[in-house]
Amino acid sequence: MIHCKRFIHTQITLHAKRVNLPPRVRWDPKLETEIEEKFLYGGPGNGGQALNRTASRVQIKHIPTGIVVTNQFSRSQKDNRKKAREILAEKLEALKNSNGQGNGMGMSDRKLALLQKKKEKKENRERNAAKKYKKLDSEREIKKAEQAAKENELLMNIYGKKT
Amino acid sequence: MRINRQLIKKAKNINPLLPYLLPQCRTIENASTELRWINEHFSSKPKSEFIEACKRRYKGMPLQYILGTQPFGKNLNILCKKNVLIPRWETDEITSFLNDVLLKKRLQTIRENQENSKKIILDLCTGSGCISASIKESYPDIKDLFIYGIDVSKACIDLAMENQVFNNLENNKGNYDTWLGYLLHDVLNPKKELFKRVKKMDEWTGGEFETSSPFIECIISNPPYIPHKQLSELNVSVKNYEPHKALFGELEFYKNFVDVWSPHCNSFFYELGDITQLDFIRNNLDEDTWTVHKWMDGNDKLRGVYGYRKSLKNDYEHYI
Repeated sequence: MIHCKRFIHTQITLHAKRVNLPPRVRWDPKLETEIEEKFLYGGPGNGGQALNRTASRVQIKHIPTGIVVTNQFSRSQKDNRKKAREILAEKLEALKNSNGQGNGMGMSDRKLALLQKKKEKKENRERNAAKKYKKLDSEREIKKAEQAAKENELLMNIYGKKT
Repeated sequence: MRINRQLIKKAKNINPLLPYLLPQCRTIENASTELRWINEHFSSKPKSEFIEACKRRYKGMPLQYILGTQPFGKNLNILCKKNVLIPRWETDEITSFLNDVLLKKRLQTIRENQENSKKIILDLCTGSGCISASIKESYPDIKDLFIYGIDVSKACIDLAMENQVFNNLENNKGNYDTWLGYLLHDVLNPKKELFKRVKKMDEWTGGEFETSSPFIECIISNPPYIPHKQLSELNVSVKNYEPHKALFGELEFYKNFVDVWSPHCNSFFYELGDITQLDFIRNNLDEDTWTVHKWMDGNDKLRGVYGYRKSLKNDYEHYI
């Protein structure tokens, strides 16, 4: 009867938690004029039909700041270009937030919130663990004391009878 | 070129399957990304298949044959099978150039005018059908536009049709979308029936469309262009696994274009690998009627030649 198990609710709660985060940093199409895009293929020979490259790497350089991002995550060049732009947007947002400006932490609001959430989770976990072990320890100590008292009583009984 | 022993050792420490991918990838970084792709593809299958795939890659089988597809164009996934050339990234760039620059204004005018005359785009040596599929993907709703992919190989035409269905680009009779079809025919010796077939039939109603002369709007082609003498220099994965018929050729397709096809078309784009092929087209087309340009790929290498009739300057030249 294992098939009757249901997993409906777990997903919904996860989704609900994520909504509270600040929005993801989006690529602004206006920035398109400020970047220099390169496709790094290299490889020997003349290329074309003679060479079957599987990886397509995209490198974009943001000219005003000099930040360079390369990306080779996906097999599709389009996806790589999109992803590289997202990474660059994140980095530019981080630059805006460093040196005492913005949130001053050198990362975007969303990343900061995610980081804090992670930290909170870790702290919570540690606190809960500490609580649990404290409880266990105290229980164990009580048990030990009880055991000792019992033994003592037993001994007293034995010796008491003898003497 | 042999691979450094230390590199193999280093790869083995990261993942025991990584050394299998080194002969094709050369660096650990590239091999790791390729291993990730293979892993993602085989994630729901038994592990033995994954290991088998890595071993096949070690022998030089192209990654696209192992995974079955190659991303292409805006959102296409082109199926790849034996006996058909795998679409290259250069061809991907060429199609985005065609869709976004060369044909953009011309196709827009065709869409707006609705002259009720048949506009034809031919994709010669279509192979997997990637170029023609990508044009239909970008311009799905031009009533007068008919795209034909032509190839001499039966395997290519079968796969191209499979790709059309796989990417949801089928022709529906009810709505007048862009029409896309594939024909089995020899590009080098086109018979009169081919011209008739392309010219006369209206694919929807069976009636006759008007065709102006020259009757083809644009000819796009990725013909075989590697010189035969380069065979020994080629990579194993290309040499042993891909069809030689789609790889080796010198001037025959360019000669064929100048002699047979050029009188019938308004514009063309041919992929090429050598400057001699560019010069051949430049020297043999009539300078008074044709404007010819070269095209460089993202790697700054000569990769194509395109041109259009001087009389259609306004429709084709706006981007320069």
